[in-house]
Parts: sequence; C-alpha cells; structure tokens
Amino acid sequence: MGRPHCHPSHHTLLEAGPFLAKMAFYGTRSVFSGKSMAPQLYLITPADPDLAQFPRQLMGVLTGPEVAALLVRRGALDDAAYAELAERLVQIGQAAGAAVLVEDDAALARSIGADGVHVTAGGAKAIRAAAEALKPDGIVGAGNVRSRHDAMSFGELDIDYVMFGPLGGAVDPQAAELAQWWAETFEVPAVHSNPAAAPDATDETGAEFLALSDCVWAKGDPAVSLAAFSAALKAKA
Amino acid sequence: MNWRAPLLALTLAALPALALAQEQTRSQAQADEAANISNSIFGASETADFAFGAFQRGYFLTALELALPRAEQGDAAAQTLIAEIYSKGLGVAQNTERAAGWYQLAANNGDRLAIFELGMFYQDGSGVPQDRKKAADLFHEAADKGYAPAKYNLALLHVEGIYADPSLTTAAALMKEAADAGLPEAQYDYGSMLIEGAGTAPDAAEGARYIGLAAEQDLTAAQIDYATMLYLGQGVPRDIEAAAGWYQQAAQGGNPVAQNRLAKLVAVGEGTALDLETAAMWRALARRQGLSDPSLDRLLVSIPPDALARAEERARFWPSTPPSIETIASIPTAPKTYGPPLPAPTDMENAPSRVVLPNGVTNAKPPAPLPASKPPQPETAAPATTEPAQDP
Repeated sequence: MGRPHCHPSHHTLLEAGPFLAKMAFYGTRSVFSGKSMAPQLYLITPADPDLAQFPRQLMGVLTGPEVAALLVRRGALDDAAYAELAERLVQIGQAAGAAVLVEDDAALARSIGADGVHVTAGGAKAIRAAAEALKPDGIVGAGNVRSRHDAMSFGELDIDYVMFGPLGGAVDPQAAELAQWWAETFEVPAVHSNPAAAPDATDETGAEFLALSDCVWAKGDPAVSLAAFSAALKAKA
Repeated sequence: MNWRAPLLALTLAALPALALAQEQTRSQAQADEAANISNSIFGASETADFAFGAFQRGYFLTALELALPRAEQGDAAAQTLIAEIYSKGLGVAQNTERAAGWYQLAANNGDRLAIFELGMFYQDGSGVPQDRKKAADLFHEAADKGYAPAKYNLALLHVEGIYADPSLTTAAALMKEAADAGLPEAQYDYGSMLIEGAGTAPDAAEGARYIGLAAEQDLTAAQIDYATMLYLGQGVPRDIEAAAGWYQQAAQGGNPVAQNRLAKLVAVGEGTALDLETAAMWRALARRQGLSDPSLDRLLVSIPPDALARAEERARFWPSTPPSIETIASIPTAPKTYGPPLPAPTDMENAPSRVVLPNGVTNAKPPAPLPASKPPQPETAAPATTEPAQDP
C-alpha cells in the first residue's frame, strides 16, 4: 500500500527553547492512570433456555462467584415470552447483586425494573433513545459493533460500556483485538465477549469486563465452570 | 419505405460509438505502454493514495470517506490520515478521543508518525489520560523507527531524566541524530549542547555551525543567538554586518529582543547604515511588547522630535507603511484613452427629440434657421447639445 511520503502533519514538539532553560522548566508531574484490576464477570444467559428449569439453574450459578452484570438474552423468544423470562430473571439477578440488563427494549427495562438495556440494533439512534429513556439511573450498553468507526461513534454517546464480540455462537476473530485497542485507548469500559472462552486461557485484552455465554452453559455444570473462570481471573490479577 | 429512416439513424448512431470504443482501447494500450516504459526506467510506481491526495487538496471529508474503508481493513496510512483529520478538526468537529483511537490503531500497525503523535497525546493528556511513562515509551519506539521529532523529544526526556534514564550523553547522541536529520529545534539545541559541553566534548565552532543551520531554517531563537555569536565572534569569525542581518530577520519575525538589538545597531550605525528614525521605530515595536531598555534610550536622546513622530507612525503601521499621498490609491475618474479619439456613439437617430433642461424649459421649438449664405447642414452632422439653450 502506498505510504504517503510526506507526513500529513507538521510535528508538534515538546517545549522548544534554550536548552538549559528547558531543564529548569520540567517539574515532577506524574499522572498515572492505573487500570490493572482483574476483569469483572458479565454473564449472558443462553439463547434458548428451558423456561421452566432455567431460573432455578441461574439461581444456583449466581450463588457462586460475584457476577457484575447479567444480560437476559432474547434468542428466538417473542416479546411476551421474553418479557416474562426477563421479569423473573431480574429478581434472581438483582437478589444476587448483579445488574440485570435486557436486550434492546428500554421500555421493558423500565417496566420490569431491570437495571438497564444492552442495545444491539438500531445503531446510534437507538442508543441515544435508550439513554434518554433510562439515564441517569439506568445502564445503557452498546453491542453489535461492526467497525472501529462504529465503536467510536457509540463510545461518544452517553453509554456505560461497549461490547466487542457476539452474545453467543461463533467467535468473532476481531473481537479480542478491538477490545484490547478499546481498553487501552478509551475511558468507556470495554466488555469482551468470547463465547468460546476457556478458563485456563485467561483474557489478555485488558477489557474491564469479560462476558461469558455459551462457554458457561454449553457443557457440564455451569456453576462449576463459572467458578473456574472467576478463579482463573483472580489468580492472574 | 418507412423502416429505412430508423435503420439509417441506428447506423449513424452506432458508428461514433464504435470509433469511440476503438479510440479508447488504443489510448488504453498507449497508457499501458507508457506505464511499462516508465516502470522499466524508474521502477514500479507506488499505487496512488487517493485519500491522501484529497487530504492534500483540502477535501477533508472526501479524504475521510476514502480512508475509512481502508482504515477498517487495517491500513496504517489511512488510519493515521483519519487520526490527523480528527486531531486537527479538519472538516469535522475536533475530537481528540477519536484521534487517539485511530492513532492507536495505526501505531499498532507500526506507523511511526502515529506512534509519535500518540506519544504527544499521552504527554499532554489530550484524548487519553496523561501518562508520561507511556509517552516516553512511544517516543522511544518512534525514535527507533528513525523519526527525527521523536528522537528530539526522547533526547529532552533523557535530559529531564524522569521518564528516561538521566543521561546527557544519550541525549546528545539522539539530539545529533535529529539535528542531522534537519530538525531546526534539534540543530539549535544540539548547537547549544556543543557550546556548553553538555553530554559531548565542547566545540564552539561546531556548535555555532549547528545554530547557524537552525537560523537558516527560520528558528527565531537560533537567529538571535547566531547573530550574537557573529557579533561577539564566538565560534565564528566576527562579522557585524551578518549579525545585523540576522537580527533584522528575527526582528522582522516580530521578536522584541531582536528588535531591541537591531535598534541599537541601527542607532549607532554598526553593521548597517545609521538611521535614528528606523532605530526609534524598532524601539517602539520592542516597547510595545514590553521590552524597555534605558541603554537604547540613551542612544536615541538626540533624535529630532519630527523624526521620532515619524518613527512612532511607522511603528503603528508596521509591518506595512503608513498611508501617504503616494500609497493611497488614486480614485479613477475617467478611463484613460489611448490612440486617436473614437467618434462619440451618438447620432441623431438616437437623440431625444425634446431635451429636458435643468431649469425646466424644453427646446421643443425647431432650431433657429441658419444663415442663408450657408447650405443647410445635414441632420446627422448637427451636434447633440446638452448645454442649456437660451430661449431667444
């Protein structure tokens, strides 16, 4: 690819001036921004839970490690079924100290007393509408980030996090790179969602939240695998 | 026989199209051939960067549009370009957070300008939280890639010695590299380090040479220092006229110190013609910036009041000249004509039959008969008069 020969900008430099005057000029300011805490857990419910069994199972899982946020996934449910499921899970999640988020529907979030909404459709317009409906008390997160430009556009809105990666299913090969880039550059927290995460391969992106979905629910005892993730993150930190 | 006309029309329409197509293939072949010859002589050309081309022409939104798809694909040059657009607010609202994001992406892809600019962002805390350690690391990375401004900044960090090892030797080596790459600030600072013997063996002549290079690149501080060195003969042969020339250049640039020193040279006629009025003008300009100097005032005590007044007036309009009879543009009254006068574009056909005069009377009456001795003038020769005609 052709690299421009001359730079688009004139360089800006540190204080230019007499050399010795510069030595005296420098003070000892040091503003360090430390972001070295272990990522918190962000749990995403399975796409098609057994509506009768799942609330009980979730209750069991949430008695384990501390989960910061719980996203009730819509999957293929219609509005009425989703509202019913979300309403039940809000109580369970909040009882366990997690913030419970619903997908896309800010009005539903308000009516069932959920803590916020995770916006995946409708882009900046939908995010703005959700922020208007729920802020300042509610949480608004942005997902379905398809490009770096999207991510930055969403990040400038009044949101609480940007999620990189899908809610479940196939892994997005770019998600980890984007999450890392976001976490090291921007103030808005990043959520890295890796449906195929494994407890022993700890998350290296530096994202503030690690979203777990299929990797918890797919096989074995969800409570055990969630505990394994939590232990691995704490051991690393 | 009706069908023939459309057929004819069709043929006529098809012919130029065919010719055009042939013409196009031929010109395409010519262009390819030309490109092949050019490539064989000059080596394969780089592909054109259309986004950067638009940027250079000031079409910033076009540049952004062209660069975005490439940037999403991980093209470092396009990412840097977008970062520049947001960093400076060119055609878009300035947005340092976004700029930092794109710089970070381009930096991850190894673009040294982006690495450097991201370093500046961390240094200043613009767009990102201030983190001078990280800034130092980024300057280091860009310097390793050979970017001169990064070497300069890294040299300053080594002098400062907080975020890089305190080492004047390392600083001097980096400063020399940046200076030899042609960065005027580095030339000036490396020259100063040579003169002071900071991190390097003292060498006044070499120091003066570097400061002279910076002066030639229009760095005002270097021009003043170089002029002083020429005046005192430090590291260079004494040359008062050259000193006055460099003070003049820095004074024209608006620097009050240079204006003050130039005023002194002009007031005593050292290295330049003695001119009290011009000296007083430079003094007025330096004073306006808050630099008063009693020793200069003593040199100018004998200036006549009218020369002082003219000097103040010149300073008021500097760098222009005060308006005067000569400089006020004359207002054109009538267009100047060249060559023989052309006949007036009037003839009796167009002349009004009733001329309305300022005092309200009209010349409705036919003109008085001419003397009988002369033949009647043809009508077209009668002059159209605008002078008030007096009633008989």
